[in-house]
Amino acid sequence: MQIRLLNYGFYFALILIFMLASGPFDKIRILLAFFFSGTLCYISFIFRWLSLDGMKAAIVMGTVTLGLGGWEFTLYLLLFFISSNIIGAVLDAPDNPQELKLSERRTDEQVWANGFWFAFFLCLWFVTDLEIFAVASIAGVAAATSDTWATLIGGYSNKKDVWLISNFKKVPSGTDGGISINGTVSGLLGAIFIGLMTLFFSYSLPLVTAISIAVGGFVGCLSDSVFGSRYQFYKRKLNFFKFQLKPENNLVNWMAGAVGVATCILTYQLLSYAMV
Amino acid sequence: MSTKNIRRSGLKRKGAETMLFGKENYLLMTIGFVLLVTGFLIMRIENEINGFFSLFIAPWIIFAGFVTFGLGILKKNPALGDTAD
Repeated sequence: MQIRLLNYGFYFALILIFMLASGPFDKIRILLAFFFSGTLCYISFIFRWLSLDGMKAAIVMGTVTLGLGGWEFTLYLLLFFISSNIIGAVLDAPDNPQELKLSERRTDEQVWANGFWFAFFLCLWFVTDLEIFAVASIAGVAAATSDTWATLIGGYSNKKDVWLISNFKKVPSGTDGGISINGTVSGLLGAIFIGLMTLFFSYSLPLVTAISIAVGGFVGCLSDSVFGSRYQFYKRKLNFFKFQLKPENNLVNWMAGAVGVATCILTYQLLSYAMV
Repeated sequence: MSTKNIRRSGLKRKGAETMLFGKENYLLMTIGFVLLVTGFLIMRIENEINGFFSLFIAPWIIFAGFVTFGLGILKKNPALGDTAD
């Protein structure tokens, strides 16, 4: 239910932006984005790629991405999905063809775990027009890409040399919080890949933007392992005022994304001050 | 429970007979659409940029229309139960 509230929250924010903070062309783009993502997500639902709740979350997410961010931000999101699905399909194919990642339905929790920070900062960027929010938004995708690449490639290529990130003891492959050299390098490459993509678009400080996104994405990937080790492997609980949460994979991804985005903002500020 | 009893008790098999959107969803979407058309129609009828209805009434009706229409799409059909597939 709480995840469904995110759909309502972002939809409400979209209406406010549509009515109060967008020009005539933006309005047309948002409406077209709604119809386009609605059609695409419905097809994805029919083909069993998205669950019903996942479809609704993806419609909101798609409208925010294409409607507010345009083709540039849609490209980052598509690069994340396509690269992750291709790597997942290619690496899984030889062993178990029945369990291709493409055939699994994505839920709303997975959509928001990987896309919340991206959509949140995209809305902020659209309203304020501050470039730092656009960079932070892309860092959200970079963190998700980096983590996914690291999990898929690391889990496939190295079954023996996996260590727990908190104490570097050897653990079986696939353990929450486990890291391997191949996985870490893949995570770094994933973050750099998204960072480099920004060089094709016009930013006031292109190199600083690319470096900040790569750094933020990679730190997000590492913190996913740290949180995974703490909350999933050791099964610790997260105390938040009176509430006690038991973070599972999606919440861990969301928290790691937050760390990645915060690191990106900090790196961007530090580097831009150093440059000027 | 036999098929006959299931039909008699009003229970439905999940996924097989349940629609993606329920009656409530379609009702909300229709109300939303009507509100949107009404809002824009009010602006068209008054036909003044700084008119009272165009500035203070129609935007709220259109806003309510967007909210209601979206709720119609996002609200989960209770007949589907917990299974989102």
